Amino acid sequence: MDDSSLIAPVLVAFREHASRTAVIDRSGRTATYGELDRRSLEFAGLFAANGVRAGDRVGVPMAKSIDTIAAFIGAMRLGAGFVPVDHSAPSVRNEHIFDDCSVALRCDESCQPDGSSDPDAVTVGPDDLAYILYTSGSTGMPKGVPLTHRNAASFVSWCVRTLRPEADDVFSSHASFHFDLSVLDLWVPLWTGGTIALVPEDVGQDPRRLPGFIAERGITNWYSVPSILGLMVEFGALDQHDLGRLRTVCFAGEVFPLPPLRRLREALPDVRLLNLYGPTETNVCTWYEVPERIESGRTDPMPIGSACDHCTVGLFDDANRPVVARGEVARILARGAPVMDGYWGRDPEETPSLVMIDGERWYDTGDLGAWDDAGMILFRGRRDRMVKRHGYRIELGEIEAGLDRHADIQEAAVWATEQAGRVVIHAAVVPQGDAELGVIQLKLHCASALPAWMSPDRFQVLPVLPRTSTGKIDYVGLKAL
Amino acid sequence: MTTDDIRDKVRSFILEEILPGEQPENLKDDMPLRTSGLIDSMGTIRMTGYLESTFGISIAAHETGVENFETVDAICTFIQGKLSG
Repeated sequence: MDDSSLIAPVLVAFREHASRTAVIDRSGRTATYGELDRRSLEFAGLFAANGVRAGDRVGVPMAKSIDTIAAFIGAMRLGAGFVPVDHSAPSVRNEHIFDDCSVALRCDESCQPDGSSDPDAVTVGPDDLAYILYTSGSTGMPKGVPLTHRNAASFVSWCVRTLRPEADDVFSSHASFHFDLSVLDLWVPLWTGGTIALVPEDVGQDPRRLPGFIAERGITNWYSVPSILGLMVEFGALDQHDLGRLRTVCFAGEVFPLPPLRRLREALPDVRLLNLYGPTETNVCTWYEVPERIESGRTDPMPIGSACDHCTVGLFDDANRPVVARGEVARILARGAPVMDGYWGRDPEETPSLVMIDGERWYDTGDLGAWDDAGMILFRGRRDRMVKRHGYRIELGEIEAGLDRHADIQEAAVWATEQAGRVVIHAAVVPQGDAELGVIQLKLHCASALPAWMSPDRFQVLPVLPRTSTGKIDYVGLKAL
Repeated sequence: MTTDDIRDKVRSFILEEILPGEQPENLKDDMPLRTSGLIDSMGTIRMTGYLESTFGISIAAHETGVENFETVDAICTFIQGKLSG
């Protein structure tokens, strides 16, 4: 398996599987490998005609479609990287992203190649950029995580070894393309002649319709955040659908609470259930296969498991010494082929999350873990002000920055609590002068200033924010309100 | 159940679960809820469960779209249709 290029195995699949179905789009329309090959070449031609060259970036603010995938491949055929963004996010956020990585071209739905130009193929190197995924940043502006061909191919190659896909497999594409779960959804089938089934957005968020969709499309490999699976178990009447083709269910992005996972295990006794772990910066770096039977006395969530064979994962204390003792809570660090070299436009030497230990550069995930008795890593929460909701990484500071953009808000503080396994985001706001702030008004502001998944669940209007003795916002005091 | 009873129950769910802290008079019955971002898909799922158990009705997945859930008025009309149908 080629571990140095994300695109080369796709080009091989185009030749070997030309008549097989590569993509089923949201409406059920299909494209074969041969058609995707031609369409991606047409996009490459359009990009080249618009001045895109090897080493450039192409911004793709498009909804999920066959063309969007063809555009990603088209960019890589020119040796350029693609930058997928949330097409429904406020345009100011997407414009910031495209400015930050100075895209050579924004490829939106109006970009319709006519196949009139035939670009020269470019062979990419392992250190060339494949794509940039932007994640929530604490300063209020998203940060670019550039993944090279080596980073991405190392991960996809691990997936192929682990999932052992075949050409008649159908992979769900539930996550948005700007979200790192989509890397598995897209490139594992495209490397192996399988089919990508794009999940329509309205179906994707409706746990009652998903099981029917999985059955209808004949999906064999499902991948999503646990919260969707939990809702599917609760509301989806799994026993009333024929899910017999389903072989593997992967989940990642947040902790899967044990009660719904237990019910999923019982509902799908013959299906492999894989817990994948890793921030965007590392692709997936640990994995755990849920056993056929979850022991009845267990109450803790399942481990995130052990390191994937394409990288090294360790637990370290605050002095960067390895922690081997069982149960001791320590920082989770990763290094190796799937791990990014540094954030876009930032010096790795100046990046606090990249740490040198004994001559090796490690990425500090910001997560805490502990070894269990079986030598697996247990997830023990976050160190900083980041939370995960519905699988999305959210820097609470980015929500505060979004609220601060409201003309009538003088100051805002955001914190998160957990209620019955559900992350609830709270915001306290101090109005400017005599301004009156209502919950509806605040929610509407958030809908225009932030992606929907960042909007707080609870608002309080306060005359002042509580402060600690050093003048910092007193989050402990706020939580107690 | 009267029209007012239905309206009270729908409004109190939205005010208590989705918009806690908002003054009831600020929630207008013709205010867009879904397309404006006031209620997201998770909120709709929770509301569907509440409406089913409160009114003893069954709501199909395809009925939870914007056409029935965009405003308090639309939700009330939808429930009335269910109860009389």
